[in-house]
Formats: sequence, structure tokens, C-alpha cells
Amino acid sequence: MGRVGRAEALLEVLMSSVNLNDVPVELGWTVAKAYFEGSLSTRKALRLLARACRLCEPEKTARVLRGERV
Amino acid sequence: MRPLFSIELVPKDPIWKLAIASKMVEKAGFDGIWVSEHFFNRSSLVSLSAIALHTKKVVIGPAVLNPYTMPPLLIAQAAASLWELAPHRVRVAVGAGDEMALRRLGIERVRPVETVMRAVAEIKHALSTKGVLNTYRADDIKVLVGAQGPRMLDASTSVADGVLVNWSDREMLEKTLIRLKSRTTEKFWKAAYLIISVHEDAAKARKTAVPFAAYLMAGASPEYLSKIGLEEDFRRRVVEILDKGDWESLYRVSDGEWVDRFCVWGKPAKLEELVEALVEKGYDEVVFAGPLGPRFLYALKEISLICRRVKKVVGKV
Repeated sequence: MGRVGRAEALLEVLMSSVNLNDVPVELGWTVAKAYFEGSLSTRKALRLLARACRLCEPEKTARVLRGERV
Repeated sequence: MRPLFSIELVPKDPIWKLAIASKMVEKAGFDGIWVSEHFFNRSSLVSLSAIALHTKKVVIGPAVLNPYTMPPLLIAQAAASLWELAPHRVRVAVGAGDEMALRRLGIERVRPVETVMRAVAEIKHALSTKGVLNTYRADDIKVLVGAQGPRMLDASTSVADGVLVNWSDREMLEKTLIRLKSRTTEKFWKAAYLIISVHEDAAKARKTAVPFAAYLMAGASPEYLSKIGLEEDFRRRVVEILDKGDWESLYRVSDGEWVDRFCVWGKPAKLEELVEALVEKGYDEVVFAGPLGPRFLYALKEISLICRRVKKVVGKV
């Protein structure tokens, strides 16, 4: 899976999570800003997106990062 | 401009997520966003300020603001201020709210129909009368009522600009439409506010639907519960389970067909058939509310495809 595909899969994990209160607000807005700018698949933004996903959905995130379907 | 298709966003989620979601909703081609209001969640109006700044075309509004927790004049002022962030894109819906939640706040829901109608009249007066809120130019804000019961529906037809019909039960939606059509002109806006959960795996869609259906069932009228064959004892049991947040027990008692009365769940094709029927029968707007589905992006994409196909079909008629 390339960076664009990985960003899309992680974004689905994030947007579908019911545990978003576990993501610090500042990190949430940083991810949002990257989404608005269309830069979520850059290396730096992808790292932040993965960090946000790990905080709210650790197992699903690990599966996406291993290239599995969630 | 009918039919409109809108998505409800729930500020149980952080505002940054709602901002991302609103941009996704607009990109997917939807016409509107309603943000639900519940005292124990984040403020719908503050959430809408962020949404206004991250969208350009969609119509936005809170659904529904409650006159027991927010004075009507403050609702009017907030709507007019929101209009400055999203000119010509603001609507407001008012309703009597969730009786159980109000009780938790120590508020008794006295004379709900009269209270809501008085609020609608005050909001419309404040928005349209020179010298009240004329520091703003927000004179095109429509005021709708969130309604379910016959008295609230009937009263709305003479005071409000339209209604958000809070049923997901097809039979009730159709009955309500007949009632509204016999009492209103074409101009009166009729929106079906559906709680939905779609997924390619119907069982997963149902699992996501159950907690939403349970909360709605807990607040349903005794007449409706009796109509669908549910006993008061069962409701009390579900309320206790919800209060404890005991989801395992909730799933154990939710194997009956009652869930279908409070939420449209399943594969996208099932939803498409319903949406097409509602629009053909005369609903001006369909609002997709509730969980939408276990996977947000998947659900949004499937619902937007349904809306495009329905618009095409209706356009041909």
C-alpha cells in the first residue's frame, strides 16, 4: 500500500472511531489542517495521522500499518 | 430546489472531527448539514461556527435547539451571528427535546407544543423585525420544528417554515406526510430525518444501529410503543441498561424487530429504496442521521451515490 492508500485507510479508522476524546485536541486540529490542505499523505502528516489513530484505535491502526484490511 | 439531501453530524465527537467531516460531506455533493444539539454533548452552535468556516456551499443549522435550555431570543441572535459566517446558508430547527435528558438537568418539560410554538414565533419575529436584530442582514433564515407527534406537527404548520419529521419507521413517515399535505401548501418544508446505519455487512450495520435505536425507543411515546408491541417493562429494562452503559446486555435484548422501527440499517440498496419512495411521495429533504454506519467514509460514499441516483430518477419523472 502506497502513502495515499495508507492515508485513506488511516483516515477511515480515525473518522469511524468512537474514542476520539483520547486524541489531544491540538493533534486533532493538526490532522484536520493537513486534510484541508490536501497534504495528509506527506510523510510528516502521515506520521501525525498514525499517531492520532494509535491513540484512539491501536489495534486497527496496527493492522492498517501492516497492510491488512480493517 | 427539492429534493435536498443532508447529513447530520453529532458533536459527541470533537469539533476538529466535525470540521473534517463537514468538508467531506460538502465534497461528496450533499446539500446540507444539520448538527444535533444535546446538552451533554458539545454545543451545536459553536460546532457550526467551525463548520461554517470550513464549508462554502452546504446549508447548515442546529437540529434541534431546545427552548427549555436556551431562550428563543438567544437562539435568534446566535442564528443571525452564524449567518455572518455562512451568509444565506443558515437554517434553525427548534424542538421540545429529550424528556429524559431535561429531567437529568432538573427541567420539567411543561406544555411542549405551546413552548416550542412560542419559541418559533419569537425567533421569527426577532429575525424579521426591523430594530430587533437589524445589525445583521440575516433575513432569509428559515425556522423549522423537530416534530413527531400529531399535535406538534399540526401546530408547526401554522407557525414554522417547515418540519423535520423524526421517524425512521416508513409507515409513520408516510402517515405523517399525508397529514402534512392535507394541512399545508407546497411552500411548507417537509424533511424526513432518518436514523441510519449502512455497511456491506448487514450484521455490522445492525450492531452499530442498536445503541441509537435503544435511546430512541427509551424516549418514544407509550402509544407508539404499544402500537409496535413493546411493553413498558421492556422499555424500563432498556433504560436501566443504557444508564449503566452495559452494551453487552443491550445487544442481548436487541434481537427483536423493534430495532427496525427506530433505525434503517443494512446494505445500501435497502436505504436507496426507502429514500426514493420518500422523495417520490413528496418529502422535500431527506436527512441521514445517527451513526450512518460502522465505517464513516464508506457510509458517506454509499449514501452520496444513493442521493445522486435518486436525484436522477426524480428528475426524469
